[in-house]
Formats: sequence, structure tokens, C-alpha cells
Amino acid sequence: MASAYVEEGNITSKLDFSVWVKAFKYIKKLWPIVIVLLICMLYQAFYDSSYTPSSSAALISAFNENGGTLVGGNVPIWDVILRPKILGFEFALTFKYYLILSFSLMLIRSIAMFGLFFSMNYIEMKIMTELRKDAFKRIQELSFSYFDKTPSGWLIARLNNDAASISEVLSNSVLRVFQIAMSLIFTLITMFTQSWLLSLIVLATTPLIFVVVMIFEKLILKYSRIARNAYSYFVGWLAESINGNKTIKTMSIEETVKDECADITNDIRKKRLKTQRISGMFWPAVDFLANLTTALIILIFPFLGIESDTLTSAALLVLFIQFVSHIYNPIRQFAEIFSDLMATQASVEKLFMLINTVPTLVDKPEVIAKYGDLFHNKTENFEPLNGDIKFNHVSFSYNEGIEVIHDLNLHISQGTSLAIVGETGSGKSTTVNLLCRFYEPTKGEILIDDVNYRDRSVGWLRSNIGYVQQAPFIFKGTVKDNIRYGRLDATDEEIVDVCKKLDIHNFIITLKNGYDTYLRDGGNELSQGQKQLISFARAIIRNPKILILDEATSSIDTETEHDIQGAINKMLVGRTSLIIAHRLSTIVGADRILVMKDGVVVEDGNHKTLMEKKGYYHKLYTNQFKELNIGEQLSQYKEQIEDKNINI
Amino acid sequence: MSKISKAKNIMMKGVKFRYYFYFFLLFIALFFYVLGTYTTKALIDAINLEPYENMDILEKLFFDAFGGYELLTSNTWIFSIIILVFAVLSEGLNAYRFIYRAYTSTMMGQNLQNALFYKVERLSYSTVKSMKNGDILQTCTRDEDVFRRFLTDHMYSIFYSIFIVLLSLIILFISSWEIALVTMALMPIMFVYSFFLIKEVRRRYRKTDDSEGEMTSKVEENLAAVRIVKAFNNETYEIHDFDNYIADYKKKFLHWRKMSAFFFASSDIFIFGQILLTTVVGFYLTYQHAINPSIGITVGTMVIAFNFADLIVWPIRDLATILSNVARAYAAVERINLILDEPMEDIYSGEKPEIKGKIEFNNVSFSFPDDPIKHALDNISFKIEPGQTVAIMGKTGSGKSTLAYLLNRLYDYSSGEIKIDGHDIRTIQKAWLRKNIALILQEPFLFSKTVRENLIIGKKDATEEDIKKATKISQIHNSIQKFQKGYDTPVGERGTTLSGGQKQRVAIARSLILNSPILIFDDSLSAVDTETDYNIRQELKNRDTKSTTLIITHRIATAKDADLIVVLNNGKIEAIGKHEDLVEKDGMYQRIYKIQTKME
Repeated sequence: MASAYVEEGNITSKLDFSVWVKAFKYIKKLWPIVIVLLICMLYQAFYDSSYTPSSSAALISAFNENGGTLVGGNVPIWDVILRPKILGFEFALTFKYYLILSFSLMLIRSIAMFGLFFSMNYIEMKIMTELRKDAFKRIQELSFSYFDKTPSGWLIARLNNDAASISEVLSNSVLRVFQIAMSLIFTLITMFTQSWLLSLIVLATTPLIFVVVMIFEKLILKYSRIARNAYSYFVGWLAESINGNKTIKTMSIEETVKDECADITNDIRKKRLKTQRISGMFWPAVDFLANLTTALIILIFPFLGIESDTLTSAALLVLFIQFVSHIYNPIRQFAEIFSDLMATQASVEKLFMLINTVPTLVDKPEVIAKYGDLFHNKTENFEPLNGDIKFNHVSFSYNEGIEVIHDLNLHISQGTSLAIVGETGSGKSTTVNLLCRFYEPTKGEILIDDVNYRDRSVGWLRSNIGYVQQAPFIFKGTVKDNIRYGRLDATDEEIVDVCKKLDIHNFIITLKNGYDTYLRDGGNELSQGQKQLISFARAIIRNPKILILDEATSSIDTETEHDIQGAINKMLVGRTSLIIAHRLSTIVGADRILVMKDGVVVEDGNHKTLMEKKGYYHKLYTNQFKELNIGEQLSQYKEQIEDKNINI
Repeated sequence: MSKISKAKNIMMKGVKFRYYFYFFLLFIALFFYVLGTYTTKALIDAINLEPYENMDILEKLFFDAFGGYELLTSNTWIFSIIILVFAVLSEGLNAYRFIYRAYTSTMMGQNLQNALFYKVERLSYSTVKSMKNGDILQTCTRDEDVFRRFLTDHMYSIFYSIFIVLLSLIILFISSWEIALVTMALMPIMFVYSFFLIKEVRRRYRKTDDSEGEMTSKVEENLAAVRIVKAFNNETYEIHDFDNYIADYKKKFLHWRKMSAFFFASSDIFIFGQILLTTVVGFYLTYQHAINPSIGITVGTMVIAFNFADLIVWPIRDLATILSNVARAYAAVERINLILDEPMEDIYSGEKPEIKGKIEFNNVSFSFPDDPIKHALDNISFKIEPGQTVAIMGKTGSGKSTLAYLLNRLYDYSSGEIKIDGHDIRTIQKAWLRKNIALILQEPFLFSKTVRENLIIGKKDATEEDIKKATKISQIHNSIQKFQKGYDTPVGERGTTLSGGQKQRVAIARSLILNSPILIFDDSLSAVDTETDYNIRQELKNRDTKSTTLIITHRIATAKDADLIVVLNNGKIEAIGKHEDLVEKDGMYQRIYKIQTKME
């Protein structure tokens, strides 16, 4: 929803062609269809700006040409001779042939129009999808550090709104420049071949119209942006006020908020009014100037000495009155294109900024040569991974100067589980980020099976990792699809097997369509715990050597916590596991527990020893316990303290 | 039409006359515009020295009005003056009507925006909960926009088309009924053709739009799942999957645009066919006239027949386009009515007794409207004297918050009676009641304003002293002062400078400023740490005004000092009494007490 209202950003008032050059490349690739488009435009310009005015002038002057004979009634209408002067060449043809010719040219015009619209649309579609594909591909390649700094809303806006408006401007505006130019050229040729003197009069007023149009376009662009911003603000305010409905009621501040609403809508109204006032004067001003030019032609006309032949001169007059609009329209259109370009320039800049971003975390060339890149894994060269993990003097900082992990030494033996606890900012999530190679250590090294993981590819490491994140993520698709996401070539049987092993098969078959139940909206029909169970299966179907539970139980409701715990215990068997938890109940069963604080390990042991030590772990545990609601307090106390015979 | 009239009347408040008068302005402006075009005919006939007696009644009138036949035929420059006069009149009127219309339509927008929001704001709590916030927002923004455009832009376009066709035809009819009929000949067919073809174009457009929506949600999904995608090394799969969405979109986009290109190209046949037909028949009639001046049309008529044909064909195609899209406006107004037809919560009628803070619950039961069988609260009775503190404890779902909501009438109880200072709360004005009961919600909600603006939102005339007092009690004053902009720091959804605990403490201070005789903490003290919780409660005790305080909590330490503790279980009172009594009794309170004191 929010994406419907595009952020405006700062928009420059100068057209910068160097920005557009990148975008023009996308048109260049489509040159065959561009040629078709140009031919169609050429024909349309000829028909509209040359053939039609010339032939209607010929119809009018026909009565003069054949005046004498017509009155006598000697010439049947079909044989009346017309003399249109097209592009400077005078033709002579009878009315009969004129009819056939006009009708045929008109049909061809329709075909040309179809070609014109369709190729324009085709170009628009091509550019739009190419831009989106390129941007999407780049998003897949980018490193985590990029996503930390870039909100996803920004990326979606680039992919959606910017790609759409750029392709629209490129196809409709930029290419239309040719169309307008051609119709101008045809009009000018037709005009000058008819009467160069009248043509000069028409042209004399064009600088004036040009200035007027440009001033208006600039003003309209400026004020409509102001009005749009006011409206976007209103939409944001409205969303907040709807969400804050309960607060408004309990605070009884309806009147205050109502007044605020009135102020904001009034502001929108004023700004819209200003914009519409300006644009309201635009067309009448242009039309008036056109009429002024017409009046000028009529005024000067009798003094041009073309009076000898009254009907020819009348035809000429009609012709030139039409030319006025034929000259004025292109100027308006040029101005529109100009403001389209201005309005879209920021989009071009932003989108290409994304497309041209260089990923910061990439494998070394020799590693890529052996193991393949992110998109093309050479799995045949992958060494098997056992799961022995060592952190050797690892330090890390997201931003230069602010170190969040200090000289961390850690050995997780193959097949054991290690849990890390600590407060927000203690460095536990960073440890996961480093192990998954979402980031790389700034100092020190991480060894997997005694090999620095930088000497193997990202694909090699990740194809051996089963990862479960805090908020269970459900992709749009069936339950089966969601599990298969962990290993794309897994068979249905393998999926069922894994679910049975994790004891979640029974829950899945109670769903409406079992494994084929279609999940939408992030799986809203499931509870948080059920979603997490599915993401467990997704991680386990990979049969990973390393399992990472990254706050995997933090958002679980108490009802499913028991099932989750059971599944976790089964997952850990035979794997090297790293468990990060904010909720301490998840980690009480781990082989080893580390407590981290400010980037260093402060305590090391297991639940029982650490609780009895009454140190930092004990404090963390009891503090957290007090935040639980009463039901949880009762059940957790029993399971984690009474049943484990811990003395506190 | 009755569907439309309600929303329409709301929009037109204060601009009704302007709205309709605009149609008149439009007609007059078009009248001069058409006359300006008509001048060409007189000019041609004047140049051509068409005899006066061959002219139709309107043309004769024209010549008479502007100085007579002799003068005009020998001084054609006068026509430039006439054209200029008509141009000034019609363009001046045009500019005027555009500005006039801008005033009307922006006013109409504001009227509906306000009306919708006022209604939304005053829907009862249960109604709001039953609606989706996103839907409400869509109606207040997009539907409002669609409907306003229909009433203004589209209505005016419809009448523009009707007027221009009408005026052009009248003028042509006066000259010659044959040419008038011919100029209209293809228009009905084109209208019907366009009307139905456009519907198909729209149908395909909607499919394309849906496909684009799917594609967007794919991107959103990909970005939301970025950790999963990367951890599972599924980048290639994602690109292929995205390609499928792109391919579907491409297909539907082309399918749609093929049809729209076909629509424009094929209806151009009617348009240019009409112009050609008018030209040919016009030529024929002029030919007849040249042979026999008593029949047919003059050259001037032929010329304006071209012009008028060109003038009316385009609006007719637009008309078909607009009319084929009326369903959209109807759908929008239906959604608007859905909100407008909801009853408003009555918060301003009832008594405004002085409230000291004595609260009585007598056999109160309550069920939620969507689950009338289950009692969310069952036969609750207790009494609180002014200035006392009551703690309410219980598991999740035991009805603690519901009890608070009943007290300030977000919901009304089903049976029994709640009295405040002896008054049944259903007789008390809701706004008054809520002003006197400061309910601090579990989830703090701050508005996108500065800290100060948020603090005084319930009491605009709060002094700096009032603010400081409240923020000191809620233990947030020092934190606020540490912010770079202090009390002027922006907060809320768009400015996430405050942590959850800080937001909660600002929300507490915001309610304390009200100095209400009754204060309810709906689990809102639990969000702050135990120490802050304790400090806040101590400060509250030292306050000049002793409010009756209800604290919903899961902390024994918090409940311990209360004058009364109510333990709820499944909507019923499991135990009630003072701390000393409850710890002696077997039950949940005792067990929790034992655990929590061990953990201390």
C-alpha cells in the first residue's frame, strides 16, 4: 500500500543527459522494433500533417478551379479534378480516385497506428522487465552489509515504481520526440510550400508560446509536487491515526485529532488549489495565443495580394488556421516530455545506483575458478564437510572503529551443540553472521574442518548449513514447497521422512490439504510455532552438517513451545549446532553454554553449573524469568529448575 | 442513485451551488468557443462572396450583427477582431471555469476526507477491531479519490462531450440537416464499439495489474527472506522464480496492450472515417450548391463541417471510455458507504458527575460479540475506595485487560453493574468517563510528533511544570534530557529514536499529566524493569493527587503493596484479598509468590 505513494526525494531542476545515457542503452538493444516504430511514426506524421491539410485545401479550391464548368453542370462530381499540393508536389486526380486514395491511406494509417502503439508498448514492456530483472539479480548478489543500510521499501520502490516510470518515459516520451519532430517537419514543409509568407507569420509567434509553455510546465511540476507531498503526509498520518485508534479513544482526544485532520486536509486543499489554478490557466493561455495567431493571419491576409483567386485564397486561409494548431501542439508536447524527463531523472539515478552497486563480499578468483560462483556452483569439486568449527582470534566491526567482537576464540567440536546467550549487543548474532559468512571477520580467521573458509566458496559452506531464523519465514506456496526450499531436488518421500523424524508429520496432516495446503500471507493460518516447525523441516531436509538456530524460539507462543523443544532435540543429533537464544528456555539442554557480554565470552559451562555459579547467567535467567507472564512462570519453573534439581 | 447521494451530499457541503453552476459556465464557454469556430464559415463565405440570400438564418444574423454584409465582405480584417473577441470570451471563461472548478473539487475532496476520518475515528472499538486497518485506509484515500474524480472530472467530461456535440449539431442543423446527420452518422456505432472494447481492455488491465501485484509480493518475499535465501544458497532459484513472475507479467501486459493498441487503432477508423465521410458528403453538397445555389451548402459550411466533425469525434470516444468505467466509481462509493453507514459511538451524551474514584463491580459478566457463549468475565464483584490501589493478576487470557476495557467502556458489560462513585457507568458520558480514567495500554502508541507534543496531547494547556512532574514520576525525564533535542525529539512510527521501555514511560507520563482520579496500568508497568516499576509506584504514592489505581501485573512485588489483590482465572475471581491473606492460602498466588521470592 505504502509503495503507491512514491517518495519524492530531491528533484533537480536541470536536465542531466549523462544520467539518461545509462537508460538509453536499454533502448539501443531494441533497435529493430524501434525502426518499425519510427516508420509508423513517419507515416502517421505524413498523413496527419501533410496529406489531410493539403487534400482538404484542394477540396475547397476545387470549386474555384473548375468554377465555370461546375456551374454549367457539365462535369459529373466523380470527375471533378482536385489538385492537392503534397510536400511541394502538385498532383491532379479526379474526385473518384481521391476517394479511393483517401480511404486506403486512412486504413493504412490505422494499421500504422496499431504498429506505433504496439511497438511503443512492446518497448516499454521490454525495458521495464529488463530493468527489473537486472535489479533483482543484483539484489541477489549483494552482501548483507548492503541490506543493513537499505530498507526493503526503498528497494521495492526502485524495482516497481522507478522501473515502471523509466520505461514509460523512455518509450512514450523519449521516442515520441521523433514523432513530434516528424510532424513538425511535415507541417513546416507543407506550410512553406503553400505560402512562405504566411508561414513566417505563424512561426513569428512561436517563441512567445514556447516561453509561456515552459514557464507553465515548470510551475505545474513544482506545485504538483508540493501538493503530492502534502497528500503523502496525510496518508501516513491517516494510517497512524487508524492504528492508534485505541489510544485516541482511551485518551479521549477525538476532538484534538479531528482538528488535526481538518488542518491537514485543509493544507492539501490549499496546495491542490494552487496547482490547479496554475494548470487551469495553462490551456486557456495557450489557446488564446493560438487564436491570436489566427487573427493575425486573417488581418494580414488581405494585404498579401493573393486576392485574385478568391477560393484558392480562402483555402489557403483555412489551411493556415489549421497549421497554427499543428505548430502549437508539438511545442506543448515537447514541454510535457521535458517535464516527464525532469520528473523521472531522480528515478533513473536511484535505480542505476542500485544496479551498479558492487557486492562487497565475493570469493577470490581462484576459489570461483574451482568451486564456481554464487549462481553456478561446481558441486563436483566440493569437498565433504565434517563440521569442526574454529574461531581463531576473530574480531569484527560492522562500522569502522566500533568493534563488536573482540578476539574471539572458539572451538565447536564436530557433532556437539553450543549455545550462546547474552543481551542485545553482546555479539551473539554477529557470531552467527560470521559463521554463515554473511560477513567476514575483520581480524582473525574462521576454520571449517581446519581450512579457512575463505579458501572455499560461499556456496560450499552454505550448502552444508541448515539455518533457522528468529521469525519463521513462510514462502507463498504449499507446505511441501516450503520444506523443499531447503533442498530443491528433495522428493516427496524425503520430505515426509524428515517430518516424521521431527515428529511434525502428524501436525501437517491435520492441515486442510496436508502437505499440499497452500500458505498465503506469510502463513497467517498457522501459529508462529507451527510456522517454525515447518522451517525446521526446511533446514533439516538439507541434511546439513552445521545447524544454526538464530533466535529460533524467541517469537514462539507458549502453547507450541513444548513441541518445538521436542523437534529441536531431534534436530541436534549428529550435527554441529550453534544455538543463539534470547529466550533461555531453549538453551538449557545444550551441551555447552557460552555467555557473551560486549563481544567477549564471560561464562562457559552448562545450565546446571552456570545456575549454581550464580553469576551473570543466573542473573540473566532470573531477570528474564520475572518478565514472563504468570502461566509461563509456573511451567518453566517446574521444568527448568525443580525437575533439574537446581538449587537457587 | 441513492447509493451515491449520501456521499455526494457530504462532499457538496458548501459548494453545491458552485458544483451545478459550473455546468452553466462550461456551457457558455463552449458556446463562445463554437461561435469562434463558426466565424470561419462566415469568413470563407465572405471571401467567396457568397450571396446574402443563399445564407442560412444564423449566418444572416451573424452578418447583420457585425456590421452588415457589405462591410464584412469588403473588410475581411474585421473577422480577425471577431475571432479575437470570441477567443477572449471563451478562453477567459475557460480560465475562470477551471479555477472555479479547482475550488469546488478540492473542497469536495476535503469534505469527504474529513467526513470519512471523523466517522472512522468515532467508530466503536469493537467495530474498528472487526475491520482491517488497511481497508479503512484504502477507502479513506483511494476510494475517496476515485469517487471525487467521478463526480468532478468525469461528470464534467461527460457534460463537456454532450455540450460540444449538441452545440455543433445545432449549428450544422441550421445550415443543413443533411450535413448535420452525416457528421453524426458513425458516432453511435463508434460509441457502442468503444464502450464494449474498453471494457475488455480494462479486464485485461486488471489481470496485468494483479500479475504485477504478484510480482511485487515476490520481491517483497525475497527481501523479507533475504537471510534464508542466502543461507540456503538459493539465489539462482530465486532468479528463476522471479523470471516466471516476469514472464507471466510480460504475457499479460502484452495481451492487455495489444487490445488497447487495437482499440485505439480500430476506433481511429471510425474517427477518420467520420471526418472523411463528412468531407465527401460536404463536398458533394457544395458541388450541388455550385450548380444550383438554392440547394446544398456553401463552401464555408463545408469547411466548418470538417471542423465540427473533428471537434466531436474525440469527445465521443472519451465519453465511451468514461461511461464504461462507471462501475469502478460505484464500487468505490459502496465501500465509502460501508464506513459512512456505521453508527458513531456516542461519547458526548450522558451525565458528567464529579468523579472521586470509588469503583464497584457488582456481579459483572461479559462476552465478546464474536463469541457470545463464552464468558470472558464471569460474575465479577469487588469494591475499591477512592485513592486505593488494586492489583489484578492472572494468566494470559484470564480477562485482566477486558476488565479494564469495561471500566472505561471500550466494551459495555453484558450483565451486572459497574458503578463509579455510585453512578452506573452507562449513565456517564463516555468522553467524561475516559477523561477521568487514564488507561495506560500494554502496547504504548506514540504519535509521530515530538516528545512534548505527545506528552500534552490529552491536555493542551499543560504547563512545563506539569510535564516535568509527570516525566519525573514515570522516570523518563532524565532520558529525555539526554536526547539531542530533548523534549523536542520526534518519536512515533516514523521516528524510531526511543526504545520500547522509553516509549512506555512516555505513554505513562502522557496519562499522568491528565491528573485523572482513576489510573489503570494495563500491564504497562511490566514493560519497564523491576526497579523502574518500583520507583514509579513510589513516586505515585507521593503525588499530591491520590488516584484510585488499578495495576494489572505479573509481579508479586508490584502486587504486594496493593490495598486489594484480585486473582483472575478464566474470567472468574479465583482469590481476592490482601497479600498477607493470599500468601497463606493454597493457590496460584501462593505458588507464584514462592517462585518469585526464590528468584529474587
